[in-house]
Parts: sequence; C-alpha cells; structure tokens
Amino acid sequence: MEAIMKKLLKLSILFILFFMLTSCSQLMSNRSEIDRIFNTRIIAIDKLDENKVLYTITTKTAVSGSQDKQGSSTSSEILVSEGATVFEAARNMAAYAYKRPHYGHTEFIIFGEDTAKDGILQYLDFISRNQEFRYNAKLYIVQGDSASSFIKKVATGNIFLADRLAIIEDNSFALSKSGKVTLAEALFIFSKDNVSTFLPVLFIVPSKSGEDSAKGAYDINLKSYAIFKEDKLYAFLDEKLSRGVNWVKNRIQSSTILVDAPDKKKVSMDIIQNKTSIKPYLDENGLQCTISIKFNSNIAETISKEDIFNKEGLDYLKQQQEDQVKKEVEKILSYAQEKNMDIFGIVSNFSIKYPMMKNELRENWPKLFPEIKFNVEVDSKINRTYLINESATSK
Amino acid sequence: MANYKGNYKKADKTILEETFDYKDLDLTFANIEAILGSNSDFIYRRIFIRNNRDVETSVIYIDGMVNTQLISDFVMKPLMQSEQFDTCSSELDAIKIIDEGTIYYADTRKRTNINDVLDDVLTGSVAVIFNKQQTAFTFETKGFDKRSITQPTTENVIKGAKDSFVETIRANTATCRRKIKSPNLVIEETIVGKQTKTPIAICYMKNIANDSLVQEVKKRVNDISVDNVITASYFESFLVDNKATPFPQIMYTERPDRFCSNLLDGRVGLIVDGMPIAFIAPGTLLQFVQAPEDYSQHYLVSSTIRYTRFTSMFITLLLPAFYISITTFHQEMIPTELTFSIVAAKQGVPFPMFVEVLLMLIAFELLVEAGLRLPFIIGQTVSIVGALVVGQAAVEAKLLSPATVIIVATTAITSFIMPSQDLSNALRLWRFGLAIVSSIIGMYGLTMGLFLLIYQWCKLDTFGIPYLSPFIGDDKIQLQDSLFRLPLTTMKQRPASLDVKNKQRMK
Repeated sequence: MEAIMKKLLKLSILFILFFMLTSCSQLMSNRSEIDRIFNTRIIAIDKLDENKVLYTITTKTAVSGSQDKQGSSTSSEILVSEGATVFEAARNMAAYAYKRPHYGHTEFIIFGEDTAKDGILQYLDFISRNQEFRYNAKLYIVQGDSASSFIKKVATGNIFLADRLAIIEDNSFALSKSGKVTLAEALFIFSKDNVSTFLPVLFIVPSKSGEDSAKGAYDINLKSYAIFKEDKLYAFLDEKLSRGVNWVKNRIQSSTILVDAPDKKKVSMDIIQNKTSIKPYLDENGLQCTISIKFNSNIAETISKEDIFNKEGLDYLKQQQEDQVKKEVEKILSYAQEKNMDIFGIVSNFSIKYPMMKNELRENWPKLFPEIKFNVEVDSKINRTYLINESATSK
Repeated sequence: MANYKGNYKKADKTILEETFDYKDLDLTFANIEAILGSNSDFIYRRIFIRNNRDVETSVIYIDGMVNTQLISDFVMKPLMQSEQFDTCSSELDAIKIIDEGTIYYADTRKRTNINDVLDDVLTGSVAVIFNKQQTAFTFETKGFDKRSITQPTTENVIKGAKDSFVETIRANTATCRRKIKSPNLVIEETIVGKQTKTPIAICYMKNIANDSLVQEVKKRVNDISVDNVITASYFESFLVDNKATPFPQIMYTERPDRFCSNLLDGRVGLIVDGMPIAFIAPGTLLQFVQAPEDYSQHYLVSSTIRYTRFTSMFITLLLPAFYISITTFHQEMIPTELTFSIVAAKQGVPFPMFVEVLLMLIAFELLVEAGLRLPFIIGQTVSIVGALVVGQAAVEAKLLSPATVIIVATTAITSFIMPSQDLSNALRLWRFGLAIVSSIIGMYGLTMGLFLLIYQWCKLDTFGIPYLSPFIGDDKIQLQDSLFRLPLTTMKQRPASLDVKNKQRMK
C-alpha cells in the first residue's frame, strides 16, 4: 500500500511538472470547437483614408455531403473590419464576428493596387509575427481594384475563391508567365538590400465562359508580375516581360512559343524543360554576367504543309525559338537595368562568387547594376516530334 | 468414534483458511463416510472378500469421476471371485495378497494416510479400505466426461494445425508430447489451490530453457497461496511482477503448436487443469502482437501484416485522442479541405468534440460487453441495434457527427486486429486516459500521456526480461522477428534475451 502511495505521489509530481512548467500561462486558451471557428482562407488588406486599414477575410461555407446533393452552389462567408493597424482591425472583428477568426488555413494574402503602391511591408508585420499564419501563404496584388472589392466581386461563382485561386495557381505552370511567391520568399527578399521583389498579379475580367457570363460573373486572370521597389509597387510587367523574369529566375516549367515554318505557316512549340544558370564574373571590362538557358521543346502543333521533321526543318525551328527566348530575356534585363531594379537577385550571385567584395558590392550596387554586361546564351533541343510526321492540313 | 468427532470439529473450523487436513484421523471407512458421506455422488459398498465374513472391506468412489466398468471388472470382480483370496483369513492376508499383485491394475497405490485416500478419491480413483488395518488401496479409474479436442475458437489459422487445448490436463500434456517427441521435454506437475487442488503442469525443454527462469517460474507457482484456481486471472496475478499495469505480462494460447514453439524458444509453459488454455512465461509486448498465422505465410506477406498490426496498435491507442486534439486545439494541422468536411459534419451537434468521442467510445465498450454476455443469437441482435442506434439514428438526430463515428469505428476495427485480447483491453484503458488528457491540453497532453506509457513499458520487466525486448536491450536476434518477420531460414538462433542453454536453433 505504501509503495502504491509513493508511486502515486511520484506520478502526481511528474504531472505537476509537466503541466505547470510549460511556461504557458493559459494552457487552455487555444481551445475552441472546430465548428465555432472562422477558418480564414483568404485575407485581403486595403488602405483606407485617414490611415486606416480595411481588413477582409473570407472562408467557404461548410456544406455537408447530404446538403450538397441538393445542388446548392458553394457560398462563401466574408467578414470585414477596420482599424488603425492590421492587428487592431483583426481584433475589432471580435465585437461582431459570429465565429472566432482562425488563420491556420490562410492560403492567400491579397493586396489592392493602391495599398501596394503605399508599401506592403507595414501590413506584413502582424502576419509574420502571429503564430497562426503559415509562411507558405501566397501573396498576390490585385490590378486596378482594391483587394476587398475583388473578393466580393468573385465570391459569387460556383467555386469558392480560394479553391479557384489554387487551381489557377496550379495551372499557371502551363504558361509560366506568372508564378507563386510565398510569404517567406517575399519577406526574405524584402529583408535584403539592393534586391527588388516581384509578386504575381491578379485581375478580373467579365466572364466569357458558359452560364457565368450571363450572371455578371468574373474570370480571374493570373499571367503577369508586378515589381516592387523596396516594398512599394513600382510597375506591372506585361506578359512577355513577366515570362522574361521566369526565364532568368529559372521558373519556367512549361510554356508556348510560336515559330514559323519555312512556308511562313505557324508551328507551336511546347517548352517542356528548362535550366537557367547565372554565371557572374569580373574582368578588366568590369562586372559581367552570362545567363545560359538550356531548354527542350516538343512540336505541339503545326499547320505547315512542308515537311519540317527533318534535320534542316528542325534546325530552322530551333534557331527561331532560341532567338525568341534570347530576345525576351534581353528585354527584361535591359528593362531592369534601365529602372535600376535588380529583380533577379544578381547581387547575390556576385557576392557568392566574390565574397571579399561583398561589402563593396552592397554599397555600390545601384551604380554597378546598370553597368553590368549581360551575355545571354540560349541552347535548345527539339526532342520529341511525336509519331505523326505530317501536319493534319497536308494532304 | 469419540476421537473422530472431536477432530472433525477442529478441522471444520480451519477448513476455509487451510487446506483440508485430517491427518489426526484414522484411515477407516467410518471417518471417510463422515467427511464425504453427505454428498449425493459419494458411492460406497461394503463387501466380504470371497464371502469370508472375517475379511470385510469397503469400496468407495465418487460417481461421475470414475469409469464404473473398470471398477466392476478389475477391482470388484477379483475381490469377489479370484480364488487366490480363498486362503486369506484376515484383512492382513488380503492386503498382502493385493500387494503381491492379485488385483493387477496399472495404477495402484497403497495408502495408509486418510488425506492421500481423500485426494485420490476426489481425483477419480476408487479406494478399497481395510478398516482394522487402517490401510487402503486406490486404483486410478478416472472416467469422467471430457470435451474432445476441437478447433481453436480465438486463434484460428488457415494454414496450420487445427487442434486446441481442452480442459483436461492429461489430454493437453499428451498433445504436447505428441508434438515434441524429445526426452528433454519436462512436464512437472504441482498442485495449486487449497480447495480446488488443481494440478498445474510446468513444461520446459531441459536442454534449452534457462535454469534460473525455470526455477523462478516453479517458485512463483509453488508460492501461489490461493483458495481456488478456476479462473485465469487468479493464476496470472500471482505470476506477474507488476500488478499495477494493465498490460499483460504472461501470454496465453489455446494452440498447442504455438505453445510448443515457445517451449522450443526457451520459454516456460504452464498447463492448468480445467482451463482450455496454456500460459507462457515470460510474456513481452512483442509476443502479444505476434500471431500464429505469421509463421504459416510467406515472410513478405507476414511482415506486411505484422507491420500493419503494429500500426494498428498505435492507431487504436491514439486516434481518438489525436482527433480530439486536432479538432479542439490544433485546427491548423488538419488539411484544409478536411477541415471543412469535419465542420460541415459537426454543424448542429450540441456536444463538444471530446464529449462526442467519449460517448461513442463508451457506447462501443457497452456494445462489446453486451455482445459478449449475451447468447450468440441475441448477441447479433445487439450489434444490429447498436449499429443502427449509434451509427445512423444518432447521426441523423444530430447527436453525433459522422466524422466522429468514423473515427471511433476505425479505432474499434483496429483494436480487433490485436491478436491478444489482454493487450487490446490494456490499450482500451489507455485510450480513455489519453483522450481525457488530450481534451484538456491538446497535443501537449497527448505527448505527455504517450511519454508516460512508454516510460511504463520501458520500466516493466517480466521474469527479468525487459517488456519492450527486443526493441530495448541488445537482443539483435529477436529483432529479426519483431516489426517485420524475416525468412525463417535466417533465424538461426534463439532469442538472446532468454539467455538459453542452447542458442543455436539451426545450422
């Protein structure tokens, strides 16, 4: 009996140590039933006048399987609040929110155009500090609209906005004109001197497809980047320039290039693989940088009646696609040098190669960057021509 | 007679505390009749050998325990008809003639102590008593009804032996002898239970089993000082080291082949009369997760199943607690889409998640208990009613969310995968404990609970062998047959933790 009492005593001491010395003053403060929390999927942050922040969060209305069968469309719930700071706005919701906002499932953080022009870093502090947010949430800029109004406009569709965005994001590899930038990546670049970041841009156009077009619904487009000077939106890039960024940053997964066959009929090339390497070097002519791009492509479509599936024909196509890529890359490089914005992080490549010059590079980069001589080398291979050697148009 | 009455009362007083002991009584028919006479199954006959009035004897036995045909043919008939008894004029002569083998019977014992006679008669012998000489002969004429060897009920295998242990100790030891035809198989018998006088056979391989293990088992069996050994728990609780843990420390099986293969590994087996199961000491956690089927299939198949079983063990232990933790404290851990499914299912349910899970777990336990206690046919009705009430009606009435039903059902199914019911029961207890701490402080509580469980496992040892062996300790050989089962041809040595005399199993 005594032994059992001793054991119980030991056990209770162990329990007290476990539970009392956790340094959490309120062990149960995080407790909440799953159906009483607002599982935020998207956060939209906009600047209002008078230094106020408009904070919008949205989630999907949970519909069980049996209810779903009745054909009700997916509806979303939106909560809006205002405050002097993001944190205050988020807390102000407590006065009327019917569920406790929870940020563990936040996938997208969206900024309006005006807000982005004003600088977004001030709004990211709370998000990067709060333990509920995930660093792999993606950042987006809305072109020509406020983020809050963007959410409200596209909330009407059959698919919930966050699900839609996730699908669009997954499909964006096919064009490789935009891409995703996570909170962690953005914060990392913002923390660096001399490097500018780029964030993907969303914009909406009236829907062209099916039933939605009648309802006044919108299509969401994701096909370009916006570039930032420090944390302020500087400019929206067009599609070609955006793809140029992806070429240099080695973010091309797949894309299309239109070339001409010898008879001037169009041939569509499908880029399937790419490897870009940046090789910085220093010689008597100053800083130089070779950007070498190696990619493979397939012939996806041809309407040329000529036989292009021979060495001469393929070489002819290869030359054209290499020229096009080279042109795209040179264009974005000269654009960046002209604006003096190192959006590719070239400074890091130099710093790694020449660590002794790190400080000098950092101090003088705004002067050095526009002077770098870029040398673009493109090498490609048309590696699969499929089994059909003739165009469908040839007889 | 006066002497007998006094002694009888004395014995009566202590009969509950001590084993019956009438050593002060004379070995006479009258005394035995006084002790057993009130029983309806006590049969006696007073006969005169060869009708000689000077040589009187009493034949006694317990009806139902003996084969009366044997008694008539081999005991009574010679006494009455054998001409060799014609010469005897007194009881002394008769005893001498019997002693010389006139009644030829394989198992004959000459007794002069009343206790021995009582023991023999109560275990199915017939006694021939000579009052004046206070001498008796007992003939082992056991003939009670016994269950024949049938298929095992809980440890079925598809590819393997179909015999099982029965309630009769002798049949069980014979089954073992048939499987191990080696002179090294030792079956020692000892009597346990002051009232029940239950024979227990301690079985081991004399050339393999570690002597100190055998001695320890013998010591513990002999130290058992209990009134009866009718249920297994009486017996088990005296053999195990740690009585506070619900985890089983001694294995039982109803399969003689499993029993024998454990003996050949160097473990010690115990066969108890009246129980259709045999015990194996020491029992480690691994043994309760192994199933006989594992050794009758291809090793890749067995390994996969064994691994699944280990996984199931943790699922059945942790799933409800984990579910409570993530839905109440760590909602960000659930995949986003799943969160919305759970939320949708939970809408309109009035109870917190913890209460829901606990209610379901309790309902499940009740169903299992109800199914066990009721006759087979009604048992099925209970499960149908249970499935309808708990499963469908409760969900439709929005008393429980379907997600919780799925979680508890998964827990239940995985608990049935455990080959050992004892282990499954221990996991049941811990499952409740972990669910409760998880509901208080979430994953932190679950981790701490698991910590305590692993601490308990690590601390536990049975007969000097770590409970978690071979996962702790240096028994690399046994590791071949743990999480996975390697081909039997690679298991050339016996488990090192048993420290056996002959380590080599095969060349």
